[in-house]
Amino acid sequence: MKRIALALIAAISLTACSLHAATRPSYGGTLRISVQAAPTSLDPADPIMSETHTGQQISRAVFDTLVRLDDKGVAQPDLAIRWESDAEEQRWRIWLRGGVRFDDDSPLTAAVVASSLRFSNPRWRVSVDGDQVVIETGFAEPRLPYELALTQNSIAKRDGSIRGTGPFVVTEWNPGKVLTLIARENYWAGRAFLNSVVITLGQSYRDQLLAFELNKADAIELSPQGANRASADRQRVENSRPMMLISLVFAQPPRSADETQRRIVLAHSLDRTSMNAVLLQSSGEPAAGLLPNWMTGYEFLFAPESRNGVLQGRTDTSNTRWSFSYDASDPALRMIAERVILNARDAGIALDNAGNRRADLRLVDAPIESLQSETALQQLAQRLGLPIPVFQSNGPAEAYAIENELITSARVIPLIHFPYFYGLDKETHNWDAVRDGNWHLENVWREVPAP
Amino acid sequence: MSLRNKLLISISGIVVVSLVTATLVISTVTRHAFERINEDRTMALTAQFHSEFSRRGDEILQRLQSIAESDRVARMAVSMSRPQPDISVYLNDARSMADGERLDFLEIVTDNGTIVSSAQWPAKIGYRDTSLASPISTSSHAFLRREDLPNGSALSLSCISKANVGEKPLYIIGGRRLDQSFLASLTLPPGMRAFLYVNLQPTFSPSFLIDSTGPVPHAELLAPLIGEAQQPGRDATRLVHWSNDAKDDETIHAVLLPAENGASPGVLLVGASRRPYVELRQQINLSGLLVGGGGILLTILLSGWAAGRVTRPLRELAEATENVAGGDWQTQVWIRSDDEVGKLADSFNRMTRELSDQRQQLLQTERVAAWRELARRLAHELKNPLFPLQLTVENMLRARDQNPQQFDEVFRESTQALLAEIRNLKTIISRFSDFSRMPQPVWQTVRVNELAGNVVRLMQPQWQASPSPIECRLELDEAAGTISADPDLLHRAISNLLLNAADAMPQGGVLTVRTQATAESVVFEICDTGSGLNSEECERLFTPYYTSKIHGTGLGLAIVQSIVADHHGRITVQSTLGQGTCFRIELPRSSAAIKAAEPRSSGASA
Repeated sequence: MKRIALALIAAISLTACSLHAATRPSYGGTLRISVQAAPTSLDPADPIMSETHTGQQISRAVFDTLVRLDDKGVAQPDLAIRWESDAEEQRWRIWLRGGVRFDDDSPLTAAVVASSLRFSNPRWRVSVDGDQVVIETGFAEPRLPYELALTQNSIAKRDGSIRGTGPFVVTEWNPGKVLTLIARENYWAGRAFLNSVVITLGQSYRDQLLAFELNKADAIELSPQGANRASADRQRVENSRPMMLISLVFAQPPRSADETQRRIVLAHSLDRTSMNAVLLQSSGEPAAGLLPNWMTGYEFLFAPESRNGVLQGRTDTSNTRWSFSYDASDPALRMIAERVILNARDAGIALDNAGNRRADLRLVDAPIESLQSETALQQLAQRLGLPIPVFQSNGPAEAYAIENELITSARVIPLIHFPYFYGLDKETHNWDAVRDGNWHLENVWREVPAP
Repeated sequence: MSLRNKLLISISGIVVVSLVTATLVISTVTRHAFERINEDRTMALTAQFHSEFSRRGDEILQRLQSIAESDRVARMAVSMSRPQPDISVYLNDARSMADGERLDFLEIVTDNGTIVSSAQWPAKIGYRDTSLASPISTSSHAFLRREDLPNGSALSLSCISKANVGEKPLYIIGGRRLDQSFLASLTLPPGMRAFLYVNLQPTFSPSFLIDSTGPVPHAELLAPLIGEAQQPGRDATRLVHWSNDAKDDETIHAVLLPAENGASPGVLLVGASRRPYVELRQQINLSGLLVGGGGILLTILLSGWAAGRVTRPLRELAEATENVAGGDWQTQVWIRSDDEVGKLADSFNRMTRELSDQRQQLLQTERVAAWRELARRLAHELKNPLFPLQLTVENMLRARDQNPQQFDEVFRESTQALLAEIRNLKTIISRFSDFSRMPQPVWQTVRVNELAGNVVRLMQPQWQASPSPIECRLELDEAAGTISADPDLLHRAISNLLLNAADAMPQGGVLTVRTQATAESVVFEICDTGSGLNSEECERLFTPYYTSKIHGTGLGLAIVQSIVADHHGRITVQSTLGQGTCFRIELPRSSAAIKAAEPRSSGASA
């Protein structure tokens, strides 16, 4: 009996130690991530990287930006330690962090930074002034620090290969298939907890789920249905705030007032609530504006019923036939697209599937990378092929007016704001993607089995 | 055409017409019989297809009932009976159920038409389908349904089943896509194929007609048939010619398929190939042609042999007749039989014998008549000079007895008169002698116009010296050229005609000498403007010793005719009383033509 009591005490002690170890970050281990996207480039300025959520996360692992945004969307120093602008906010001077080195051990210099910025932003005039970098935008750009925080402006050294100063270094790159990263020991902000990260690219939700079930992946993306099923099965699911906009985008501005009316009829006919509630199993939010309400606070003002428009039935939509394209390989997008076709048909508008060809109307999913609303709006406009807005001030009234102008231009119809869903195993910790959807791989750590 | 050929053609024609008629009748009767058999076969095949089609419908209905009775649907029905049901969890249920039952389309709907789950259009979940009839009724048989799809629409063979679990029923609407793979999966008899026309547009579109291999080439050929079948309550059957080859023809039966409600969205067409029938018919036609052709050939050969046998005595009779016509009065034919033809031959032989005897008698009679005429003419001609001779001699005798002193003078005058009459007698005798002794032509090359001119030139002074002058006109054809002839005889013949013409115009007139040339002959024409001849005179003009003149011997024109005949030519006369007479001599141009004319020389003169 005594021996049994001792054994029980020992077991409880071991369990307590184990629990204690699980809550404390530890170095080492490999994180295996499986994703659907299949980028074929690692250049952060390449749209393949900058316009997809997965590409942005890979960029954040390999490269640094001059500025980063904190959880509240405030610009914080990163590779830049300080920045100043002139009175007109057209000329910006940036002081660089010292002691930062690329993965080939070459130092971060103002010349390399200027070269990288010129490559990613040809419209800027970038020059070097001693250890400082000077950026001249040619117009007032009060949000330049926020732009510098976008992954497309990551600092990269392009000398035949591409090198970054980020927390991880690329050791294996099979474009579109596999990317292997290892932690940099001498990372200026401190070594990442993980030893390495293996990212398997181009995996469907089903393949990812199979890999997860077979313990071949530690973190996977989940579809809304997959997330619901995983939650029902008591598996670990994490999701971000709605950080992706699913919208309909017309390739051209309306050619006549009649066409504008028909586009408005289409916008009114779309049953966003059902799309979200039934197709996406309430995992997203019906979108009325381009940016989600939690970012701007005024999205509800764009709700179709609160806008002045021509209601369905007052406009002759017969003989309205538009070509329509969407990414059929994404189940969620395909489902939404088919519901759009159904709703449009009820409104007397025929949408013909154009496959991958250029179409009159596209269903687009665009990540909202920046937490700063004006910058995010500019980025969205660029991603959706809309005129990029120019802001004169930092006030929400101007942001609302500009977003309203974009929506009433009848070029874009917002549908859903959608979060990112991830399935994680129990050994992966600190996957802090809740607010901005970013992986923050430098903070992630895994429980390493005791040797 | 010979009688034998006529007989051959007649017999052959009759046989050919009979054969062709018989062949056509047999072919028509055979074709109708085969058409009937083919039609029966098509109907049997169509019935078989309908049976197969119904079987597929029953199969779908069974599968839907299986789904309706499944636990998943039962749980779904119970869940849907609760307030505020969450249907999003059934997003993929219809797809998995459809896959399990091998259905292409499956939708689970509530009684108010709200789609709980859709296999073919998952995004329809929660959507209320207003196209469904309310209330929804289940079906005991399959029907055609138009399925709306994100990329268009399709046609399905569908059924409706009902799950009566919970407070509200669920309806299971499902089926199989009616496309080429469905048609290919049907078990069809050999020589038969099925088409499907998906009637998704108001007007006919060839692209909506498919068979088991895909779109049907030349689908527009079936447009009238489909249009006919789309009339309510009417099946339609047509023979369709896909190409110029009749073996490609198909008898196609079109049926409007049952629809869920209202107008049917599909027409089913069942085609039965006519290839076996056409091949059999072609074999029969070929055999008919070979037999008919052989029969016709044999008929022609036998008809030729028979016609030859039948017409041989007639041909011999015809040849004998020609011989008789050619002057062989002794011709006889061989009597081969005692039938009508034999009797005809016997009659012919008897006729020729009698003709020969009569000809001998006629010749004898003519000879006697000629001698009598000659004697009469001689007597007439000689009597005229003899009477003055007698008077002169009697006058001399009377003068010697009564006036011896004047005898010498009378004697001198009388001897002169006697000599003149004796000369006259000599002339008469010499003319008779000339006629009896016409010389044979001595053939030379004669210039036609030159000969005519010479004759006229010799006579013209005499005509001009006459108290009533005769105007002579020469109309000579430059193309007349030369002919083979005896120039002296021709000169004599033309002179005779000119003298006759001058005699016919005692009061003067116009005498025309004309030559004309043709390719093979030369024509002389001597025309006067005298008193002319009547028809009787024209007929007797060339008869020896006939004359219309007071002092003529009647031998002039006979001599002319004799000369023309010796030159293998012909002479004709045309005359109009009061206007004049025209003689026409036509002579062959070359010696070859003359030789060619030799056999018929006896009949050359007119």
